[in-house]
Amino acid sequence: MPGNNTQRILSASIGLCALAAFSAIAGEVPRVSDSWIRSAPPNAKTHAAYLTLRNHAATGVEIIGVESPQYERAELHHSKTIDGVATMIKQDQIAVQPGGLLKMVPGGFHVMLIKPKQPVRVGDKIDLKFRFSDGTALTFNAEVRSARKQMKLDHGGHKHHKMN
Amino acid sequence: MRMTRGFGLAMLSLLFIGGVAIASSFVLRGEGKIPTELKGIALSKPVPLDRRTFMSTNGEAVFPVPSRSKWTFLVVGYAHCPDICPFILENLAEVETQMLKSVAKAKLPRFVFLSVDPQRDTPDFLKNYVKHFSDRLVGMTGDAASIDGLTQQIGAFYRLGKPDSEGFYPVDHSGEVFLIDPTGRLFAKFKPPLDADETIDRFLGLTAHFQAAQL
Repeated sequence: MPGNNTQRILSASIGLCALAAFSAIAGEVPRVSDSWIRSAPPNAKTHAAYLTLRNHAATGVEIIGVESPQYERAELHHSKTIDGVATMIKQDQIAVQPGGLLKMVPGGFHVMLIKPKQPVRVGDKIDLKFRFSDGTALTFNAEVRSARKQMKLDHGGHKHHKMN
Repeated sequence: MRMTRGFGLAMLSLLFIGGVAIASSFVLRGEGKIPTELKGIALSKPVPLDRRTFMSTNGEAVFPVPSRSKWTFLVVGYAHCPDICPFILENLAEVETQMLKSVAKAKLPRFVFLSVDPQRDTPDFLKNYVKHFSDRLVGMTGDAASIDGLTQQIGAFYRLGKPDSEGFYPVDHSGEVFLIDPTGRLFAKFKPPLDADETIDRFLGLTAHFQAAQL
């Protein structure tokens, strides 16, 4: 592949699952799709948001922050299960290569939303904002969904759900 | 009849091999030989667990339950966990939903969520928390001695993280699902994600294996 400009060698950084080459066009910005928030018990102090971020830009981007007006705080996290022990590691930034894909999924990268200001219910739309290292920002929303329904949606009836 | 030296040796070897085979079959039976499909899930030697007092969502509770009772699926975690714990509890609730359809009522196991974070997860808090996943899920926590004693015996790990400026702390914890038999021994471990049908097959296999070993 060296010398072949049409094919980009994408960074295979751990956790950036399902990397695929997308056509990167100058002037294009990263886009979020498939965003959702796991519905949690009514007294839960934390929620997790999952999504897919496609970096259509010709340059790499770095997410350096996340916020939501409906929560007191929000953070970028990465769950890992090593030797059977689940650990959650706070991420100061997450880099996405040009044309790259960042999948935030249960058991992997996610946005941790801390202390909802109002009770959060299934069907609510939560506003979220990513801040990037180049000073730009991206606002999007995520619907609160029942995880069991979401998993069926993601896998079209397949029962296995991969945890990263 | 005169036995040659070679023949004698051969006979001795055969006797020896036979003896070993018979002896090992006894040993294996004693230990409960694990059927192939349960390897990596069932423990080769179940671990008897000391009974300790916990605070469950139904009040003070001794765990494992003292009398011969039901099988228990146990998850170790904390209620402020946004990702892994809800994932596993949700996954287990899915298994439970399938079990309610296909497993006889008398054979249904209990489902317990042990919070290793009693400071934030009071029994009252846990009561409202676990209801979200299933009506039958029991939340349980306790003092450090009870939590540490039980987690150590089942080979589970947990570590409370450092609080940040706002006082929030994450907790590292085992992401496995532990199965405790009706006599209060750790009998098997499952690694999520759990496929509901496969888990039910394994569970029924484990209960049959348990009964065979009791005879």
